[in-house]
Amino acid sequence: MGINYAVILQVAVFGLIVAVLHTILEKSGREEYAQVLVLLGVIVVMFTVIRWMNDLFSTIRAMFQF
Amino acid sequence: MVVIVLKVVASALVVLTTTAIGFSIARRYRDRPRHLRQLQSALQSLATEISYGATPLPEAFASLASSQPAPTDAMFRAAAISLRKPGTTAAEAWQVGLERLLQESAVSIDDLAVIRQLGAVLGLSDRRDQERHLLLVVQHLQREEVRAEHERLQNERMWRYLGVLSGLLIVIVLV
Repeated sequence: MGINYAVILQVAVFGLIVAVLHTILEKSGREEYAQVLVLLGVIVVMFTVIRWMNDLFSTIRAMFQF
Repeated sequence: MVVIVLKVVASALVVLTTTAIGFSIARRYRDRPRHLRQLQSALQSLATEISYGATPLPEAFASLASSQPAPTDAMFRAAAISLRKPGTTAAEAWQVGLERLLQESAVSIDDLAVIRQLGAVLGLSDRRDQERHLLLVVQHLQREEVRAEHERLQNERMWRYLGVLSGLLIVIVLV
């Protein structure tokens, strides 16, 4: 199967780094920055995922066009 | 092949840059308590020179410039040189020295605000008065040092990690 493992790995590493940064920021008493960071991380990952979903829907649409 | 090598090199550059930025910010936090401590001992020496040695201000500055450690000596050297020019008042020379200190060391502008007022006193009032002012400023710097130490514990390690990890984050997003 042509599953692209690289992109999944990319999102995983991204999440890992954001999690570590969140812990560090929270430990040094900057909870508000930690929150903003997590929010930004979610948005970035969401845009990546949206791109894949777009590809998926295009593929499906191409499949069902007679 | 070439593309992969280019990607690796560029990623390494990005990570190195952000790491360097993080470490340089962390260094300011690490150096500030030490520089404040040096400044205290320098001002105490100056108080001793004035009250017990009755040394004239240019000579006192010159002797401090040769006896103090790295960032503080530059301040007194600049002040001594500026004071040697004819027509310069002690306050002006002090100001020149403080600007030099701001460039060379990690002390903040707020720290210098109190020290700047010393310029109006140095070389103008009697010995006891000057000594009292100097020791008052030293006490203020002591309080400031405790605060700086607290800030260091809070921020130094954070900025280091922040530099490295934000570089990795950028690389991951762009690859």
